[in-house]
Amino acid sequence: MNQSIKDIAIKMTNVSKVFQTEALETHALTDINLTINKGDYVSISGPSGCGKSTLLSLLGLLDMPTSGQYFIEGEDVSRLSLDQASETRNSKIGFIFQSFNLIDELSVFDNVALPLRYHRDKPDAETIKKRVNECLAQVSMTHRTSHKPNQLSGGQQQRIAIARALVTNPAILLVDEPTGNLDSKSGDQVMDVLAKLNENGTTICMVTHDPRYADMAKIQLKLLDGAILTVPSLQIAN
Amino acid sequence: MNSFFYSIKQAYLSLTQTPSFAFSVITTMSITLGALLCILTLAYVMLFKPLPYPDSDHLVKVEHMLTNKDGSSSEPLFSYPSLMYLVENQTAFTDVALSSYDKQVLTSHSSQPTMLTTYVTPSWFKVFKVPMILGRDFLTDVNIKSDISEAVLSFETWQEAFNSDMNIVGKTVRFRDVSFKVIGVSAQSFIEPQLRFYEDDNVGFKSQVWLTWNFNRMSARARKDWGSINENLIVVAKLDKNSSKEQAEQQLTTSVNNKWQEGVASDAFFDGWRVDIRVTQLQSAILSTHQQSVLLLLAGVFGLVLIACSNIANLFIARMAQLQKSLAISAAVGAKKAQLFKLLLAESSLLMFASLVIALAFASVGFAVLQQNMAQVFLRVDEVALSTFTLSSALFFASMFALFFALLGNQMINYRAISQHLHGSGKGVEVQVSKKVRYSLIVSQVAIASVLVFGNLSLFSQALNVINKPIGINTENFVDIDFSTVRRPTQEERDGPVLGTAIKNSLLALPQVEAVSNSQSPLSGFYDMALTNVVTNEHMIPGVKWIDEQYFQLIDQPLLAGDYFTIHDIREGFTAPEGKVDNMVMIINDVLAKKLVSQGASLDDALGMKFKMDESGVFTVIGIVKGMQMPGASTIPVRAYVPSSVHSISMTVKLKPHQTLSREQVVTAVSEVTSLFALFSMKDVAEIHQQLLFSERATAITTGTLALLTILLAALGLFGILSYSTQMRRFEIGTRLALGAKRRDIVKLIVLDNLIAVVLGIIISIVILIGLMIGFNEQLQNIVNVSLLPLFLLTLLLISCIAFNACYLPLRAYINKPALYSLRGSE
Repeated sequence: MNQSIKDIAIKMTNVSKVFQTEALETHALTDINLTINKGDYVSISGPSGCGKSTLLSLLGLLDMPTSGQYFIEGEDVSRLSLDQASETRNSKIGFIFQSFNLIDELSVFDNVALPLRYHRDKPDAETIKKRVNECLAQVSMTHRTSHKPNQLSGGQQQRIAIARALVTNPAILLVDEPTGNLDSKSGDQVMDVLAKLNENGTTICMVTHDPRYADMAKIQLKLLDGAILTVPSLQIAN
Repeated sequence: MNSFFYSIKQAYLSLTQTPSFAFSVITTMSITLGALLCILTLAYVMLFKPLPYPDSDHLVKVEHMLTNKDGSSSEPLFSYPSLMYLVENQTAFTDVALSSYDKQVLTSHSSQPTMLTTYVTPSWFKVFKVPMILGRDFLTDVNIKSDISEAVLSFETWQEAFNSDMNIVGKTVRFRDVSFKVIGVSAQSFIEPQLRFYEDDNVGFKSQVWLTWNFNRMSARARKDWGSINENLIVVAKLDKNSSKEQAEQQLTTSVNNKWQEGVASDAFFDGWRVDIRVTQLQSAILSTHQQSVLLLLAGVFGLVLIACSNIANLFIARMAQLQKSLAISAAVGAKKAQLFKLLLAESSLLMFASLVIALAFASVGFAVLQQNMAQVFLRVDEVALSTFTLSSALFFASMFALFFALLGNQMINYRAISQHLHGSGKGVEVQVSKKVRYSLIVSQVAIASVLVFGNLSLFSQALNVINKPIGINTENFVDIDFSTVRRPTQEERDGPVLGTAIKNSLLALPQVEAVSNSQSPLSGFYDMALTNVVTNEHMIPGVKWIDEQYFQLIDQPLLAGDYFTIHDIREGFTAPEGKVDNMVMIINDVLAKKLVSQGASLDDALGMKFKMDESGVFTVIGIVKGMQMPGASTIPVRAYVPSSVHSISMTVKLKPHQTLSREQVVTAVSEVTSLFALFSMKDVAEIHQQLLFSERATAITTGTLALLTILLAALGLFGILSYSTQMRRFEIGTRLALGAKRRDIVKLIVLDNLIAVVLGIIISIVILIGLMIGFNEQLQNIVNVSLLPLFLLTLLLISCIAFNACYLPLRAYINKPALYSLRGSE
């Protein structure tokens, strides 16, 4: 099966991550090769300490790999400066955290708009308002725009966080245990939102240790001791 | 009691785990507390502590004010006859102690040291209750005009000049050609009242030897002259218990004034003048001019304390965050609020008392420094020592601070959140300092620091201006030398060659000497003399100085009009030669000339004017020089210069560049010429210059140090608050970075966020400064002016720079690493 470069959202080649402390060297990830195509819904699961979070951090440019190459939409992002990494995160990556990471002092609207305020293009107020409302509509939260995050339930907060992740039209959504801090009902709602977004074309990469939710992804990767255990059939065919 | 020791032990163990916290608190507190104790003790001694003499509240200083017909008063100085009249005719006092201060060579001693001698009446020792370790003091039942020449040595003199000779009593000492029998030695514990400063040394006068009053060096003429006043005559008296200061003033003014008018009746110069006797509490007379300095210092130190408290408050807040977990566990196992508070109190007490011990050591060093360097600024500084007052205030402050910080820490703990700390995952439940508290800490730091830094910098720059102000003459490479006569000259010496000239020539022969002028140094030797304009009969009292023909050229004092003196103007006799009395010459400075000529007229008009100077004769103005400002003085006084005599033994020696002259070389040079003179004093003119600037230098050093300390403490404090608040926002910063914020965006965010607090602090400081200017308008009017505006802007710039760096530096830990580090820190 032929793959056009245009279809590849992100690609990692031989990526390794070593943490060094005074006493020891920890190989968190070794020789990770991973390709995620546009429109994919990938889950990464594995036991505690297998390197899930490290992998997600590297994917999200929150940390830099020790070796290997990493491309987002064909652009080499393996060796970026801190500010370049910020810019790439802002335009290409949407984050959804386990603990939501909303800023308490800002309203729901301003939380969602935050990435746009750091955007290279400096969109005007009108554009921001339009885009924020679009995203809030996607997560069905248009009725709470002037509230502060701590006035909302956990599920609502996570939906706001999803809207924030969508606001710059990123190449991929990186989702870290989205239901970890939620009850099962709210967790299900959040998972439904993600599934719907993927149906509408959003690329998603999710880290979770919950097998029920991992199964909801189209492609399931299993990580053990810093290496990918299961390679999806699609990739093996290549 | 057991639980008390348990708390202390726990607190100690806990503190050893965080040495940097303990170190920061103890350092800040011990420096601050040390400074506070030092200044507080000084203020107590100077402002409240009674003088260490019996019935000290009845002791008064009696002063003699002369007021001329225009209503302007002279310095409060006695004339000798007024003084003696007052002593013999007063009834308001039970005792009157007279003293006359002098400086002379102890000629009976092999090394001929120059000593500070004080001629006193017997009641002087009674009034100050001088303790003696050997012999006795002067007998009070003898007449004050007694001719028995006796001496009492000070403890230090006895030790240093006489090797603590136990048999000293009964031996004789000789000053000039008068022998005094030593009758006793004062005890070391005696603290002499600082009634007068010795102008050359600029330190409080500490008598080395006390001598019988009647041998004081007032000339026979001065003893009868009601019109001439003398700065060496000091009167202290003990008020009769039945009379008040006011009664004494009234009674003495009337009687002394009547007598004085009789005394000067023959001199038209004093028409319309009058005498007032002023009686002031001895304590306030001694301290009057120094109170303001003490209060200023006290204000400065309290500012420091505020800043330090705010800094330590900060450290405690951060410490509470650190203690959160152990407090939560203690609470979980059943510790009550009061028990947790006890734990905090034990910790803060331990820190404060450790600081206190070090602070007492700092304060002792401070006392020594004050005594060494500030004797002129703060009288009674000798009495400043670790005392009950110091110890009790130290205990008081340490306890207050311990309680304050424990209460503060207690406030910071959210007891409801504490239990959640264990239940929850730990996320989001921490000791949170409300934004309001953080902001008010920043605001107060900025406000206090701005006021203190600005205040200190203003005084500092003012002192520096005075120090660096050119005085209009050259003082480098000059040595001021004075000789005194050892004995009465023999007839041969009287008739022989002029010794002044001979000494001058013998000094000139020294290889390192470039020139010698028969005049006192440009920084000393001015005497207030009454001049009467021969034509208009107007009076004035300029500072008059006797100089030779080379003086002005030697010190580069510029001539504005007329001529310098020539060698022919120098007098050949001790007084004006026959026939020349009405035809002597005088040079005046431009300030005096301006007073003489009519408004707007050329200064040249003053040339040719004639002045009579008491009995010295009539002088014609032949030259006008540019006035010189004495170092440390704010104005240029009126001055007149007249030719010295060839017999003058005051010399100003100019050395060749990079040469020095030793005391021995001068002594040898003089001893080759004559044995009549002993070297009395020898001083570098540049050194005199520095001494005259003493109080400015002291101000500069004190204010400079305070400003630096303030800046240091403020920087530490602002850094503490802002790094704490940044730490609190670490998670938010991580989130923003993850969402694509660049480093610049984060810096901007934090700076703008704190800008309001900084600006508010600055506004408050401006309000405080304006308040101070309005409240203390009179005291500050000399200090405050438009030229301080740049200095104020500089202060603000400095504080802003500190605030910016305090924002930026803690941020570096987060923004210069991958965003992950900040995000991870939240977990």
